[in-house]
Amino acid sequence: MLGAMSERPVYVGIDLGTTNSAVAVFDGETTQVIRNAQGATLTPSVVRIDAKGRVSVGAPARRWLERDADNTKSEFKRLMGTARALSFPASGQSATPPELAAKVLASLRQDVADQLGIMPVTAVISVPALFELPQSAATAEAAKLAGFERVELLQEPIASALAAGWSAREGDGRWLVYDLGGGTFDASLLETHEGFLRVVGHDGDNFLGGRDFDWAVVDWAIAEIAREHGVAIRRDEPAHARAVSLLKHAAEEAKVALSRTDEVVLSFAGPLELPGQVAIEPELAIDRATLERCIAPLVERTLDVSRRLLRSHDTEPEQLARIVFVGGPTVTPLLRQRVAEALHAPIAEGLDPMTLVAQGAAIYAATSALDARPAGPLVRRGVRLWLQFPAVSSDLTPHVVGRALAGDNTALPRRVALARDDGGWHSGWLELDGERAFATMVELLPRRANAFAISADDGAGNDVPVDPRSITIVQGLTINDPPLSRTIGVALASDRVQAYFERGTPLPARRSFTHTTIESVAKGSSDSVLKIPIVQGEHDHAHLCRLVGTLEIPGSAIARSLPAGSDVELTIELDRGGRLAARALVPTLDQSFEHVAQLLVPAADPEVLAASLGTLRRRVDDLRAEAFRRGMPQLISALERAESDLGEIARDLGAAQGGNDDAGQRARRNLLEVDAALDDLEQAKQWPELEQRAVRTMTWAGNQVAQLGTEREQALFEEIAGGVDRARRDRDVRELQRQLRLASQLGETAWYRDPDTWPMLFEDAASHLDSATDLPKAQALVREGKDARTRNDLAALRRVTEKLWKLLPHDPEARRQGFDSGVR
Amino acid sequence: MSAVVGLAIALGVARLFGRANKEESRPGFFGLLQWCVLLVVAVVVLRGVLAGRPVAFAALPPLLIALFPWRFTTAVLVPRGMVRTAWFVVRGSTWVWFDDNRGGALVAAAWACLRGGGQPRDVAFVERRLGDDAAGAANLLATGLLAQAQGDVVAARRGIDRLVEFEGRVAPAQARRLAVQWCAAEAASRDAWARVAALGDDRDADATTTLLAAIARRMLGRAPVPEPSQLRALLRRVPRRAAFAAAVERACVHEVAADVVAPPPAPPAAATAPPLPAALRHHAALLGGDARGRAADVAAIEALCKAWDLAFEDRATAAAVAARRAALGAKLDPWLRLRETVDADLLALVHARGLPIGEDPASKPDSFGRLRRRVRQRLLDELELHADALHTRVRARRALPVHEEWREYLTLRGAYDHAIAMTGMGLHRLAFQAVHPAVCALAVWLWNDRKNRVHAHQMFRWLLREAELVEDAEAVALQRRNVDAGK
Amino acid sequence: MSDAAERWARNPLYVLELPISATRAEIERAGQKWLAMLELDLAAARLYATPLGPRARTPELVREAMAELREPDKRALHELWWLAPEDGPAPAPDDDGSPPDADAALGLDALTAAGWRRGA
Repeated sequence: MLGAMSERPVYVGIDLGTTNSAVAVFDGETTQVIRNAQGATLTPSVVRIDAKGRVSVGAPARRWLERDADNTKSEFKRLMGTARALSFPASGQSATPPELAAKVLASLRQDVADQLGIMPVTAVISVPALFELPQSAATAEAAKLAGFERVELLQEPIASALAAGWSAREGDGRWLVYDLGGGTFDASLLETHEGFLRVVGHDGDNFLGGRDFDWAVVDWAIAEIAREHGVAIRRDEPAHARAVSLLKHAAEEAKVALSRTDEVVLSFAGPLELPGQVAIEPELAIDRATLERCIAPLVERTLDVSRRLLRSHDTEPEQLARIVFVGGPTVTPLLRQRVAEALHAPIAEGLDPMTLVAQGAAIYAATSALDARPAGPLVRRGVRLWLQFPAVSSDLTPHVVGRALAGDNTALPRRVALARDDGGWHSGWLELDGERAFATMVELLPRRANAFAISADDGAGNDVPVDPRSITIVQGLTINDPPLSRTIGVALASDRVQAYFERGTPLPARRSFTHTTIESVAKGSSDSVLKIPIVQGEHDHAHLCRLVGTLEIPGSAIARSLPAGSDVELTIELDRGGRLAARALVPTLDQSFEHVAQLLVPAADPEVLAASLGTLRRRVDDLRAEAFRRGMPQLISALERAESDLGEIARDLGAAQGGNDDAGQRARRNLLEVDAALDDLEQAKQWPELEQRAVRTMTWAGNQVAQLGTEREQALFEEIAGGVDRARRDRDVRELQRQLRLASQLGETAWYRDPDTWPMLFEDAASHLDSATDLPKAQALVREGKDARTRNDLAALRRVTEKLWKLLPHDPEARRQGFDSGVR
Repeated sequence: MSAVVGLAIALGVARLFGRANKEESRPGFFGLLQWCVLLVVAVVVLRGVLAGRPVAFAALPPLLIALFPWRFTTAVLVPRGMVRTAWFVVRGSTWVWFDDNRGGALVAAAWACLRGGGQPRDVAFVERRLGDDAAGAANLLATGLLAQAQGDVVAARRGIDRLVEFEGRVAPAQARRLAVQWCAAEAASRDAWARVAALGDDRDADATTTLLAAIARRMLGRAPVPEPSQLRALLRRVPRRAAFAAAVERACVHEVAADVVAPPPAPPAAATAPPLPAALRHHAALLGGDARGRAADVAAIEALCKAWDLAFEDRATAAAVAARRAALGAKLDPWLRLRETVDADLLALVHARGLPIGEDPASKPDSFGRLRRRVRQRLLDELELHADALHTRVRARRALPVHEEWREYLTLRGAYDHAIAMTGMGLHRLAFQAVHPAVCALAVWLWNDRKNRVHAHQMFRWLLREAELVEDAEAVALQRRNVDAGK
Repeated sequence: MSDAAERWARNPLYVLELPISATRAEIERAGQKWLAMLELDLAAARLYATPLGPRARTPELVREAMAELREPDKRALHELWWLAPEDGPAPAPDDDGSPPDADAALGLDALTAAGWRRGA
């Protein structure tokens, strides 16, 4: 095997998981999962640095997770792309999440070397389908730190489908990849058609994962303990963290055991100690039926997501060719059974849910021709043929294109021929053209590695040696380029997004658009900066997308002042690993700017999160009150969902306040989701509201203009009323708002002529005297105003009132939602 | 003795001309004084020359430069791009620029910088001097020229066009004369003859402007159409007549047509073609024309809209599209999405070209009506955004250098005028509502805190004019007070 | 060039030189061939025809074109926008290379003539 392997290409795929990682290799025909030094296919994603600074990775580190949690870190994948460094107090060291991931990757790389005798230099690493750019960039960085020269990132569902599809014998169809990870649930709908794999759609639930299954058991155990021992353990109480951790570990073990036996007893690694209470060692037995009851609501939620995905792509569950299970929690027979029953679709058997992703990544490495063998010494054995052909092809008749490179003194070939190894196909002589090039289609045998021998001659029958002399093309399922998981664009000042790359765009990609600045940037000024925010997400509104970087043009760096209305040509580039580069060219300055600041997942500060949670809660309350008042049952039920999500977020926030950064990040992301959902709901009810406002405004303004307006104003009002009618007919929100502003302005103009108006407005302003920014001045004005009122001098009264207004605080300015974008 | 008497007379004359006033188009006291002194020196030197004294011959060139610094600068220094020298020499030119010779020096320097190809060092030199200097009309002209030197002719046009609107009180005639000439030349370079003809009627039109305006009337066939002989006569009065001679001859042979709008080009599609390919061909013709730098006009856009309406109404095509959609398994309706992209294309085309597409009073449901509504929407959106950004900056008191403030105001005004020109007066009121608070806040800030009365006054005047046009009684009252404060 | 013209010129069917009826396998095969030829820098692959004139073919364009045609939604739209390149815009009747403004052109560079621009 070893010898055979080194002769053939080696393609390496790595599943860098939250809890466990795995590595697999592919040789063109079969995949092989590499075992680590402990003989296991899974390496726990755990890193420990002890007091002497010694690093251990995987199972040896995993053993310390409970005993020495401070110096043993797990689940750091969730913190990828954040600025946070994790500290190891015993040794006084600290490491960033990519550095820790690099240690895991390096360990897997060493496992490959131990087993195959080749230290791989390239690999494909899988990432979650919805990883954001900074997270992808951090993963690529980790691979680099681990010693890989080149890596590509691949989305996990594609990897699992590729692996499942590679071994599948049946033809075209749609499949559901049911991926239940530690903390997230992802459902992907894929389609194979004529040997090509395509991602049809994706859905998921960020609130749901295998850990929630464990927590369900923990909650059950806490309830049992409270019932039997009268001890209340609280998950969000930092002092209880150790007891909770013991419970969780026991629950994990029980869950796994219950897939084999009917009943187990929860075993704890030590007594449960709570501050100010006697330590207890409860004995809790749990059976399958109880486990089933605990997790049933969670399974139901995954099914809801799956059905929603199928529905949104017009696929009936019965149409599914099969379901592919991925992730540790899906090993639970209970779960597999329940899902298969509910969806009436066959399960793809014989696939290992724990290593499927790594295997798929390895197959993908072949598709991208990422041979992991280090380049050997160059031995030229004839005229160099520069060849282009697919390493893996789903097409049975792909092209081979080649060009002979002029070498030193050797006679160049005039024609070339290719012959398949089994003798079943021959290209015949192919004449080289003026550029010494040829192109031909070759015939492949399905589902195997096809080797072709290459021969060349000088046209007169004399053999010309060429290098290489043979090539291999594997026929099988392919997917060509890694697609972008989420749309990337630029936030505009209008809070809109100019999309640069839509979801599914093949990487690498590069796109330019011209924007116009809306603000001047003064040369040399430190407080004047033009910001170009780069965001990722599927929403039309920038504030609902995630900010993944900001390109800044600071006043301090420009050669001349940049007036508003200047053009900025922005180019964004993404490489195959999802790394982002941006360049802004300002033609009038003849300068370009490339520094992208803040390519990081924003920090999840619990206080900030709590504040936004509060805001969202108030929004839900307001919306609900209104929905009840106006009798909108659909809105009420939609709000219930938002509310339950907010409940989950509050739980995460509790954990974040207890020091769990990962939960904080989850809360941050999910707050955005709820924000987006509420925006949609508000939008839906905006129109009826606006129409009511239109009626009110037009009635009031119409009255004022009719009574106090000039003839010309009355005619103008008629015109505006026409505009309002048109905007209402077209359901044009912005136009209606504009026309209404005009109407109320006209109404006010008329109203100000009413002798009673200014005394009234003056009284109103004077009543807010307490909040004036300059009290003595305001008091003086009020005195002046009272004088004017006694004199009945309306013009003076108006002047005083207007001055008074300026001293009263403004309404807080609407929040600048487009990330303070300076371009449109 | 005679020199002392001459000096006394000159001082008397100088007093007659009144006090030195930078903003008045009158020579200042010191300007006259300088000239009187130079006159005396000139008499002395001339006598020396007549007497054949070598010293007098040596003193002659510096004297001529000192006597006619502006002529010398524009004829010798500017074409050679000698920015610094031009600046220093014109600082002494009090007769042409009166007391605003600082501004004149800036104009000369910016002009030289422009002719020198806008070298970064030169630009920096002019910018430094523009700095926070008082904002006279000459400074505005210099700012415009500097923008042109930096390759931004549009910004230059915006700036210098506005200067032409200035009243004489704040705009020395020399600055206006140059500004009018620049605008005429710039418009002529674009073949925008209607604008050139209009500039010819300006009170500060000089010989070059007058010639260009006459050419324009001939090109447009607008009365009074000048005869070739008249054109040639006008040419003789122009300082750089050689540069215009060839064009004048071409204009002379230009066939004079009646002043009518050119008919829209016929749609390139054959009448018999099925509606979708016909619309596509038409669309490609416009986009392709756009790509080659040829403008589409409104009539062509309207014809294209009609072609698309025909295509979208065609049932056979719609059925074929539906069948194809089913065969491909597409989830979204391509027919609808085609319509969306067509709408977006047309919007972009009209917007990029700034075509005067007009209003849609009847709210028609066809493509053209839809397009008009969308153009209007987008223009207003942009205007609001722009005004909002300005307002936010003013509230935050983030000051820009004086000439940058003015340039920003001009940009906003440019967008405003452009929006109205594209869609018509129906948008006027909404556009005014969008910009009034921001511009007013900027002007008040400039007036009260930054003592830049010249710019603020101009802004108030503009706001007043616009408020009157849209009949906003409140705004009219407010701006009238503001304008009166400046009188 | 405007974004619209740019988008049209990037129509994947032009980039890959495929007819509307191309099958999935033909798309992949064509894409693979163009990528290979571009990689070898062969002259035959450098340009492709569009109704707006020839355009340069790049590997990014080819990859994007393949991805676009794999998506039924996107493909359906590209098919609608397809117009035989040789069928492209007949030169407009007034296409005599005259400059853009609606007014008659004189070809007078008045800015330079009047000294307001640096001469060539």
